[in-house]
Amino acid sequence: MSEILLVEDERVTRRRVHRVLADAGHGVTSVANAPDALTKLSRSRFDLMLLDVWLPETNGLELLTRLKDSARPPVVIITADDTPATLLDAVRAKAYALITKPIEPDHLLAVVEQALRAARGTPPIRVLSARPEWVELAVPCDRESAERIQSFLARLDADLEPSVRDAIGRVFREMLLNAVEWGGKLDPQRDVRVTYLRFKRMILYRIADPGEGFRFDEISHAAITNPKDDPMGHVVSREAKGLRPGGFGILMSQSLADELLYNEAHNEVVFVKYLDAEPPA
Amino acid sequence: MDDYVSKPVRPEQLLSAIERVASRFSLEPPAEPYGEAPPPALDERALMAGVRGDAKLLAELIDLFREDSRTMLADMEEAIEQGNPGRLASTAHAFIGSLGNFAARRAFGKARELERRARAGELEGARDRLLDLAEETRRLEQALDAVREKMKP
Repeated sequence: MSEILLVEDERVTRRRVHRVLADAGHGVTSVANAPDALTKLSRSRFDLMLLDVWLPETNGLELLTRLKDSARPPVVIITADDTPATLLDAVRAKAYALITKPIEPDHLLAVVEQALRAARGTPPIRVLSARPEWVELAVPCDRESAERIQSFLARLDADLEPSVRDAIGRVFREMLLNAVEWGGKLDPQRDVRVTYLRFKRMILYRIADPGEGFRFDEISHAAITNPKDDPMGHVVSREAKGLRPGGFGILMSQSLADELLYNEAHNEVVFVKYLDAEPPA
Repeated sequence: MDDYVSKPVRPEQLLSAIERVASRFSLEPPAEPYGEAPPPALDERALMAGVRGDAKLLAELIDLFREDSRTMLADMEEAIEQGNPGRLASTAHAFIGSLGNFAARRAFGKARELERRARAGELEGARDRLLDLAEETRRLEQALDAVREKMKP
């Protein structure tokens, strides 16, 4: 059984979340403010902390900065405040994930399970810049960190048209997973550098992986390298290399992004989505 | 005859004919002939999903909410009287969290707007927005009581 510390000042939510977690078999201790949370943390061991941001007197994220990394369990933030500033503060405070209110029980339990399974031993995502219009991060090369950072960054684009948001999300996911899998060889001790720039009329992502880069003639498993008269040629190459079906990532990304460029070594990629473009007919 | 399907019957044709007929006998209440009917104060299905179908827990949460909503609405009123947007924003934020437990989208949205403006230091029109929120909260409480009544064994 895992022990969870729930820090939430609003008591209807506290009661409901407590009950949902307890019914799912977790041991739950609930407190309503930061000082009580500190007391509990000093006296007992917890596997996970669920933390509200806006607490009386001390902000939940401030509480995290006061705790040594070794003295705190993995943290999932629960908040009704999903402004970019709070999102980025949560990443900076090394929160594992963020759940926005209203809280849906199945989602809550899924995130809690995932955090309990994965959080310990995963190196944190480092924040190098956290202005909402200029975010720069160092993300460990594992799939799980990639998924987490993708869900954080997707919220920064919450104000965009769903189709634009979806296109950006898909390209980012594809490029990031390529960087983590091929560039970083899934080694969590190495980082992928992610930069997100938000201008009035465009969004730009730059993803730099720690690998040597590649040449297109080496990646015959990717659909982008297929000759015009053989649009499925890469499938044979994938089978020969024992890869899962797929290989359309770069091709799809090129069509969804407005601009997509690699550097000479092909270990850095930049893509742009213009925000004032007419939607495709 | 309300509709027909020519033989040989193809399942998708049959289904679409059934849908056509069924749509004429909608179970939805008819729209108000004059003026717009106010939309429901809560989404009952989402409400029950939020407590995983636990009627007892729901009843407990409703009691807590009734007490807290009074306190919080009064606190917001006082904050407006004091000309204190910071306090208004902070209580509105707590109220949003509380409303989030009841699948009450309208009240949630109204409280959010109140908080957003208060955070920007704006108090103009805050009293009207608060009155509007209080009225929506009253509707929500009525709807919650109706759900609770229905759940009674």
